[in-house]
Amino acid sequence: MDYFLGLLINGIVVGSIYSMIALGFVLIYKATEVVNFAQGELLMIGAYICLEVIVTTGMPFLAGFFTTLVFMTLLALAIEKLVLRRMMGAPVMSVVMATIGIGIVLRSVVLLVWGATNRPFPTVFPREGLDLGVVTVSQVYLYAFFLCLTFMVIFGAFFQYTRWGLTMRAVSSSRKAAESLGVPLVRVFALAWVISAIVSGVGGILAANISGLTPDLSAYGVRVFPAVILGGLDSIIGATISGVIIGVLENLSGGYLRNLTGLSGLGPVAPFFVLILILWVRPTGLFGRKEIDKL
Amino acid sequence: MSSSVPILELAELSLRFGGIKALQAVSIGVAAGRIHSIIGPNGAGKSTVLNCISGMYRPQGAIRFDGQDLLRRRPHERPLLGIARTFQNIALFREESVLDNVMAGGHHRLKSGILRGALYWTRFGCREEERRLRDEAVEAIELLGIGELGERPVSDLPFGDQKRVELARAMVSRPKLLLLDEPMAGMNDSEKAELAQVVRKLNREKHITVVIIEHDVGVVRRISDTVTVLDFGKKIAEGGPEEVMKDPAVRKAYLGEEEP
Repeated sequence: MDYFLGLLINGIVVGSIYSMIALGFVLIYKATEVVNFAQGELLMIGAYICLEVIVTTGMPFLAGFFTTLVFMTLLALAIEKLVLRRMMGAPVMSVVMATIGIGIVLRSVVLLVWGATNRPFPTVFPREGLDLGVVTVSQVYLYAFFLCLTFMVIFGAFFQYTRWGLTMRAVSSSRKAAESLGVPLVRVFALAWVISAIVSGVGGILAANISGLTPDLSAYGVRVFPAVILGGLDSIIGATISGVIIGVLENLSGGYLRNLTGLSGLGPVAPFFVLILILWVRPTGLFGRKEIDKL
Repeated sequence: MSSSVPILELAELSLRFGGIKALQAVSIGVAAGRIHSIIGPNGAGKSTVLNCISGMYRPQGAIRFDGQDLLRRRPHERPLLGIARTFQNIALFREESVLDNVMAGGHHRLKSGILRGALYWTRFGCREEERRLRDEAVEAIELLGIGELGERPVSDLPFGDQKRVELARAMVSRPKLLLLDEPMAGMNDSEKAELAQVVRKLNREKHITVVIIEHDVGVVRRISDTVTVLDFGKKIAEGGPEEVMKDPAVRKAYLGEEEP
């Protein structure tokens, strides 16, 4: 039972990080119709920047955290201005390719500057277990979970109640209509990238806190894919819920399949079986729009 | 009337899509306060002209509206300049109600959110302003005969009613120039006649200049002050409706007739 609960909680925490990254993914997709393949790299670079700021300047973590968010904002604006704005009107597939290119560039920069070795993240959140009665959980997990939750609530409120949030929803509902009514698309696109980069940065910092920092952290970009598809590419709520589902699935199947088969490493594979299954039976995901391909 | 100054001037517009010449040196002057129809066979470049005016395409040539160089303006600036449009393939916020969609037309002139707001989906802030906008939206849908559909989500409505919602939304933006891309598609004859009546009313009473793309020759005859005929991206005729319909080139291209 403890084993199960341990896996479950672990899954929920990792899943909440997935949720947040998936939210970034969906946001860009909804606003710009582009699948951003550089999502994982945004997350990775966020973690490196945070680490660098803390280690080299000796700033407290919180200062490093917010510096990272500022950096992510500027990075997103730069990507939008230098690459994506120039591609406005280009076929979506070309823009998708460009995001792959952006990902490669970011990863190369990280390798160039920081190398490929694993770097331990300074202990920010206490690692001691917290006794929850039935099971003991490392505090870093709890911090990560609540931080994710906080960010998702903030952005949820942003979409629901602010002008800009509503404008973004209008654009995702009908880009043509929104533009013809006076919504500046370019600014909405930039905003989508900024928010997406910020949540990725936060996700990267949390993931690095839990599992250490290597350029492999960018694999989160791919690992979050099953969650995005399960939720339906264009559903923010779907992404949030599916992130947790996939995190739990990954951990439970990892934990139990290892005992069962003696093979470790099955955990990360399981979500992709789900991915394939979903694409078979319900390509629009749990919460996606029905006419996802219609223009 | 014949001395009216053009409010909209398209000069030598040319546009290519790959190897296809969508527009070839098309010049059209739209006189203020008129209803100006653009007709022509499918693929003649009618919608392309509208899309150039609304900034979705960037053609060669010049477009002047009300003293402004439109080609230097971004698409989202059109409503502020006084240009509203409807779309051939309908662009509505499908999940939202008819009234919310129509109110979205006033988004650009909400004081509290020029170029920003999307106040129309909330109940917050600027109540008074929003209430007035709502009244205006109700008036618009009533004029278009869909007053009882206000609370329905637009995705539920038949094509013709969705077209009406688009027109209502354009009206609420209080344009000087209204661009209508086949607003009567999917309607029967009596519906078309009703809508033509509305367009004429907007034109006469609110002094809105209208550029309309329409296939129904009967409708075009009845409402147009001026007709421009396009074929294969070129202007082949222009003038009053009766005069244009008699033009042999037009009969040949548009009506598919050989020389009479």
